Amino acid sequence: MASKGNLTLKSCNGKEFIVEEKVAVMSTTIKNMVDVDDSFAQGVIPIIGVDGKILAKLIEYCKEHAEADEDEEVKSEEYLKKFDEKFVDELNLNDLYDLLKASNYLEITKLLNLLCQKVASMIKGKKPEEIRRIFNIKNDFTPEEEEEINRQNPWAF
Amino acid sequence: MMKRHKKGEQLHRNLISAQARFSRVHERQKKGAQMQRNLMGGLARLCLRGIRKNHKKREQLHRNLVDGQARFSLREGDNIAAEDFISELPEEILCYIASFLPLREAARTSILARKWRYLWRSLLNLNFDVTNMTGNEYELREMVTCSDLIFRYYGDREANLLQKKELSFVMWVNQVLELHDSGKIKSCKIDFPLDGQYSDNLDSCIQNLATKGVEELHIKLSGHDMYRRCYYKLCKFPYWHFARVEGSSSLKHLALDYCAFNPKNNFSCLSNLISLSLKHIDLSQDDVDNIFECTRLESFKATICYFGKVQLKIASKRGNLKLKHLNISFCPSLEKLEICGATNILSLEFRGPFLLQRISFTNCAIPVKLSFDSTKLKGITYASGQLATDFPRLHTLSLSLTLRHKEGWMIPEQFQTFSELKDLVLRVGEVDPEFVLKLTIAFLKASPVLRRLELHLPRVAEETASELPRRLPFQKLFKSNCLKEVKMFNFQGAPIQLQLGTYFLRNATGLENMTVAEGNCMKVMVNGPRIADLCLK
Repeated sequence: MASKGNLTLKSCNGKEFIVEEKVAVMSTTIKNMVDVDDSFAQGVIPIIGVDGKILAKLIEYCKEHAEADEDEEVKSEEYLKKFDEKFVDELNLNDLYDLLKASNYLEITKLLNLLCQKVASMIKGKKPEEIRRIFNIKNDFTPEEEEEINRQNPWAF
Repeated sequence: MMKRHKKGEQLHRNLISAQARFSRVHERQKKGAQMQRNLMGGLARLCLRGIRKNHKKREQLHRNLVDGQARFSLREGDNIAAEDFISELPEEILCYIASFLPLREAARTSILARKWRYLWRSLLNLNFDVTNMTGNEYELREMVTCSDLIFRYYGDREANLLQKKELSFVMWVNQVLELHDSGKIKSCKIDFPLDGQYSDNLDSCIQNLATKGVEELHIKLSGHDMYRRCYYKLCKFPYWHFARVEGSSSLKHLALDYCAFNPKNNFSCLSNLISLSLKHIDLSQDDVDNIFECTRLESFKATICYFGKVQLKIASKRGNLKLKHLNISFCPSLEKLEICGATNILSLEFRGPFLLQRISFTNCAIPVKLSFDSTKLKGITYASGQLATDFPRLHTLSLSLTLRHKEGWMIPEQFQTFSELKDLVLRVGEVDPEFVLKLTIAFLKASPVLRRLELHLPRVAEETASELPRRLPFQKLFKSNCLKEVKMFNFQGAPIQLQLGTYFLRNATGLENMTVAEGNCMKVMVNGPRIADLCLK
């Protein structure tokens, strides 16, 4: 049972996290749940489809940003920038995908932005072949189709 | 504390010896330029020595210098996917990812795999510019900028070529917009020199964007020689399309450069407009009145705009303005500015050689951020006296002083105190370097809580560069421990400039970071590694 001002979040594999409300409501989805139904604020909020490891990561991120929003003096913009950088740097691809899905589902816009930017920076400036190799994307076009795409948007290639 | 003090002294000694080396070199060889290079090199070595003592610091500095792209770059090898999970992500996420790519590269993802083929057609951000169209920035940009008079009037062949490029740009924009198949476009940028003959194309494009709920719009059609505005009609910006959309207008940010813009009294239909930035646009008082009928407008910026009259009034018939930031820069002919009912105003910026002589406030809040050129605003007399009284809550001040007459160089004995000033930027041009030194010290004295100082030094003439300045009575000067950061631009290494550096090292006991840069601000931005950091931590 969480004390007042705290919420309990439960991952899909049963791990429980007690977090401050201001941290939890960084997620618009959770915010809406709490706003609409008071019982959520008392009980346990199940976070469907997000496992304990990913949820811990999400909370780590939200905590830093919620605290920074509250007190600019202690956690400056520069500090946050560095934190964000380190945060995405340490992720492997699988965690990155899981976090992307989770932050999309929980509507944590700032994090979603950050993660998408990270993936975009991995694509940027690379040839299609390289991009396919990094993300292990299988080219399922026939040569004719490829040619057609090239013909349709000649300016892009 | 002791350690820092020692280090500070060491650096100070180094500076002095560099100064001495400077004058010795001068006796041997009279080539001023060579000498300055030596000195700069010496200074840079000093800085490096200071930094080398602290490896971590240096590493961090290096990291800072590497640009964002490199920071994000992939550590390849240890982070390659074993399976294609990315294509399994929901389409909305993939599309969001593609929105962070330049349009060209986003479109190129269509070749990756079937799943990706049509993704780029629902991008949220569309950026139409030369680079995205041709992949080559210089070819077209150069051709277009110098095209103007020469090509238009003297060479048919080149003129045709130019027109071909314009047409292909317009067709490209149309094609991409036609292919775009989702109902939403968040932001759009059009950056290409086009004139009035393409008004209809712009019109249909804006109409399309308005129906897709665009929130951010940048239209930049300049690039030609500015003489053209006399000869050619400009593209009309059809803001009224936003009035015709069901519900309220989505547009939040609008930036226009070089188009015809005549806001009538229905302009307030842009009810969500928060920021408006205009450049190279003619505006009448009526236009301005209509603009400020937008009830949510928080930021207004006018750069190189012609206001027709010498007087401009900013007010709303509906009562108080939401306006927070006002920036009027390089607008010729404007002399008087009247601001009424700006109860939320935070920052004011006035730049340019054609200068406002009088600004009047009626029923306004007191801005905390101010930036202006003081050529005509009674110059230094105003800055040292009335300014602090007019803006008592000022915490950021940016001041450009261009004083052409000797009489403007008098620095009053006593400055009014800026009791809350934390950030100060001084740009000084065409004056005696010694004046800068005295002025800086006077400002420091008047700002007891100043934390950050940025100085843009005037060029020191080659022939006077080596003159050793008279010793200033340093002992009379106060010490500051609030000052944490000093930046000096245009630093050529002349003795007088070194003396200023010495002054900071000696008297600012709380100094944490000092940056010395050879060029002006813009140059430094481009050539990042030129910055040398003196760390006294």
